[in-house]
Amino acid sequence: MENVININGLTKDYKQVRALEDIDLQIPRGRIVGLLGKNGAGKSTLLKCLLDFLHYEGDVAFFGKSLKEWNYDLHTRVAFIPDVSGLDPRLTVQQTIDYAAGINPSWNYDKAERLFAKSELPRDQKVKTLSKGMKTKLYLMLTLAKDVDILLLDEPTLGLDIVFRKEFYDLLLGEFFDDNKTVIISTHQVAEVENILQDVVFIDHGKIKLHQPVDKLKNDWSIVEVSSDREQDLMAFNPKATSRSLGKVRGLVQGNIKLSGATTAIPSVSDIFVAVVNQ
Amino acid sequence: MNQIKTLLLTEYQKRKSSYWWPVWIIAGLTLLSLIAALVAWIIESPNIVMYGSDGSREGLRIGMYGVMFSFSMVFALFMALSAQSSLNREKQLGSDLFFRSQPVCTWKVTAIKYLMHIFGSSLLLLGVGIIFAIILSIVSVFFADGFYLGQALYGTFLGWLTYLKVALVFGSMFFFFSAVFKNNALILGLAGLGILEGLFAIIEAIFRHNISMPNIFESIVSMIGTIGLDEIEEINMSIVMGDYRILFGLLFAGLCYVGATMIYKYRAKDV
Repeated sequence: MENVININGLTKDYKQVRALEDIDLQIPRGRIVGLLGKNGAGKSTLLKCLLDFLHYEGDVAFFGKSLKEWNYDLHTRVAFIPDVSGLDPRLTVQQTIDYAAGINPSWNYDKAERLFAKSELPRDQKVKTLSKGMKTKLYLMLTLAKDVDILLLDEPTLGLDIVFRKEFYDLLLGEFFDDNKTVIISTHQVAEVENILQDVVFIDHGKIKLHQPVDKLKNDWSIVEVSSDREQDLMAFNPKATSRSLGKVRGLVQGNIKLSGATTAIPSVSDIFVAVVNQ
Repeated sequence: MNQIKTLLLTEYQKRKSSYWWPVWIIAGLTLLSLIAALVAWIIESPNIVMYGSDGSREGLRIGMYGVMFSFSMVFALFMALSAQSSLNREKQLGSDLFFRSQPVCTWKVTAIKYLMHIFGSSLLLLGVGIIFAIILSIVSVFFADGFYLGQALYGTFLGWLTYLKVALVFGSMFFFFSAVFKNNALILGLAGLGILEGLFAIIEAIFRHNISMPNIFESIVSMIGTIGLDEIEEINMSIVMGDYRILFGLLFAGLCYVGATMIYKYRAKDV
């Protein structure tokens, strides 16, 4: 599968603090990738470096062409939604749509009209009067109407209620994603996105801890549950995380282990994420 | 072309009120003046004499130049406020990333901001001036000796050109400040120049005035060229535009624009 993003030796320092350290990462076409990490792990910094919004060391390439060779036209193929709705509060919804339509050569007028007609966004209202959910929705629709190849989302649903969050991801999957598009979702709310992810990248303290397809990840890990009196048997497999309740001990272990009398289950991405970043 | 049109329109929409405020202020002041004149008329029945009633042609030109000069002060104030926030306002509002995620050349964006924030309101000034020139020309038919719209428009145009010269030099400087400072760019920029001026004075004093340091503010003002207030009775195109120092003003403005854009491009990465 063709890699649409290639990152080699990416390092970013904020004065004395190293935010990213020697990141190597390849993102293939047609995947939904979760960039998962705790607060301050370096997720936002990585996305901003990808778009040349920050000074950094190392190489980033989109579609085989170095970021240094790309000009502003990169934004016809790559779109970004930041963690806080950064639309201009002085413009109305309609003026914001008109701006995006006029500035983007790849603007899809039919798609935009269909999306905004369904959205019920108040077009005459100023952006500053919209709720956070409405602003995020507007931002997403502006981005979807651009018909880009890669979408970078930085904590896009932070602070939104469950209804808006669901609507956001439904819209993303229904209107944007196909085999030729790539989505990178940066978030620390792992449980919220794990059902839509195809690949995960765990980042912690500015370093990539793990990069795997979700299927493989779930095959490589398992949750083993035994009765409390057999805890020592479980501990022999060196579980990365354990929990105890109702006379049972559960352990997250790497690999498919055989332990008689134990029950096994497929772990969630959240379980594995916590285990990996706490190692 | 479509991008340029969109950028021009969006810059206008973002700051619509700051373009129109000077117009409303002038309209308000004019209304107050008319009311005062009407009251005075009723109470005193004064004998109104137009400036230079012996030669109303020149009187209208000079009068409109003076009118435009006073209007310009209101417009210049709002232009200064607009120019000093040209390149930092989006950052203050948190919408910087949205605008920089668009496929448009930074030089094009800053050029449109430069034009709109420094010279955009001058079109309204010209419009207001033309309306006043027409009104004064009509009034002069009744209170002076003829209808001299051409002279009134000429005075308006000369006043407008003078405003453009001021906007070119000071507006460009404030535009540059907006790239350097994130907040209060006007105050900080002028304070910086003041400190530099003070340092030059100290250096001159240390060397017992054997060396001559440049006077910064005087140099900046000189690039506007002749304002024409000393020669207002003869005001004409050669007085307003026939000063070689305007060329320095153009060069200064160009340097301010290029410098501001380069700083903006570099500093834009400090998100």
